[in-house]
Amino acid sequence: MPHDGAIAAPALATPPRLGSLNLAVVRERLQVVALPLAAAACLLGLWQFAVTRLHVPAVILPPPTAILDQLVEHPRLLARHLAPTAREVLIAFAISVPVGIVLAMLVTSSKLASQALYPNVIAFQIIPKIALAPLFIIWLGIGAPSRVTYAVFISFFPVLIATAAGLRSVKPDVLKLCRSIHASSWQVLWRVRMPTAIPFIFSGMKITVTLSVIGIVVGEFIAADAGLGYLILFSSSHQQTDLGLAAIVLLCALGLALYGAVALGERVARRVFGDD
Amino acid sequence: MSAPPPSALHCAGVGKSFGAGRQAAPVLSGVDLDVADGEFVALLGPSGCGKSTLLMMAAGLEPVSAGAIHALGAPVRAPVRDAGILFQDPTLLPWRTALDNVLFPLAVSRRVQDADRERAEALLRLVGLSRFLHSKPRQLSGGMRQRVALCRALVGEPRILLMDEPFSALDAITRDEMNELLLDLWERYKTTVLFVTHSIREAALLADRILVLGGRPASIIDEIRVPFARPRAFALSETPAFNALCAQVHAQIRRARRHDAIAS
Repeated sequence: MPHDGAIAAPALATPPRLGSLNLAVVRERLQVVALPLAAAACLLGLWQFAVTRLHVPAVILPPPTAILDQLVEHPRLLARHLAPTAREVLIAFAISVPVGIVLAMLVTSSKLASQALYPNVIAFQIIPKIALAPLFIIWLGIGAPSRVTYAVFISFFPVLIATAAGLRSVKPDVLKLCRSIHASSWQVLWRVRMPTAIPFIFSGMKITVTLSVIGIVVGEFIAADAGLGYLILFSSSHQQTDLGLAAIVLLCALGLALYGAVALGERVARRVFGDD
Repeated sequence: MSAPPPSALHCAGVGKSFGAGRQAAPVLSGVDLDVADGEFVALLGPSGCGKSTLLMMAAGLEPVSAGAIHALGAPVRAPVRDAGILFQDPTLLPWRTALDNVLFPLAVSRRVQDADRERAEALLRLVGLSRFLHSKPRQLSGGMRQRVALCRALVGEPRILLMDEPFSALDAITRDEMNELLLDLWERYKTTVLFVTHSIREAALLADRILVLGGRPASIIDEIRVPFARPRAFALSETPAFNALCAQVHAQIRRARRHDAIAS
């Protein structure tokens, strides 16, 4: 092979490539996944070791293996309680997002609306909303509608704030262009402001989805005859700490899965609607 | 009302102040200018002198505080139809392809037809983007994005083109390319152009006439007719005659500014 210094130099400057993937990048990605997993495994190991060595009663704190046993031994019971919780979380999330978006459109629709509504929106956020949970039982009874409404009540807010920020993030020159081509404010909203806001909406949705989980579980604590929140409450009162923790593990898994799905959507949205 | 003047753009005693009452800061005052049909006029001035504001008022995107502007024979009270605008930033919509960005002004007013699409494609080909019709802005370089924006300004076949420092965010080499492209496009369309710039060389290469904006509040302090024959090419900017003109413009601006500083 002919050797040319001018060509060899840049080849040395860039690390070797494997297909389209870069080896250094692969190692970096592996580290990003492997390191937190290893750290978590260490903590669990420490937990296991401490609890068995110090003879901590299982009612106070069972070892991780006992929680795993519960997950393996009672899959049907756990699944029966996971299903209503997951369903209600999804419904609450599916309602929270459009509620937040529509309210954001309203708040940003005019200077007047913004001045009248925005301070109230912020004031609303200061309410300790957990404290209102029992009132939803009075208003809507002890069924799923009450829990879902409460979850929507606490979780639409991040989407509202993020959407409002997104709708306002359109550059002034783009708005000038729209005026110069006589675009109506309706067209500006749907063809320019909303697409610009989509990546913002997804970042709000990431917070909203975790709040929806919290809202449903709090609702189940107050009134439910099934669901992971109910199961946690039930196990605690029966001193079955390991079962309660198994339910919490499932709750985490549910939250993580939903968060991951939204985060994935956000990446796609940024690629399509983002600036770069 | 007097009869509308025959020029493409006519400003009489135009002034602009920002703020109100005692805090009002006058930016422009007593601006008189005329741009003839088919003329290429450069508006030259230092940064922050109000030349972009004047252009926005001419486009009907900014209200005047004093005086009157007529564009294409009608008083300017709303965004001027039949005007194409180019900003310093390409202001493309990131989720639309190059072709769809060019079609955007048409798409807001009516249903886009095949003929529109063909015209947009032809424009993009003309500016050398035939391979990038369906690329998203993020896949294009800064100069290519600004070329898409130029096509978007031209797609409605405007009678007047208003350009607000359109190439000043580009690197020097790309900027020269864009100037050459604009010369070619102008030969083809002969549209009336008002071109805001702070570069003497750019103004001298492109324009038939240079209006110098200066003072505080700013007004037209000088006017230079550019004598070079058309069609022009970028090579013109390497001739001694061109450099002599630029030096002359430079000297005139300095004299006007010094005079202005003494006066105030």
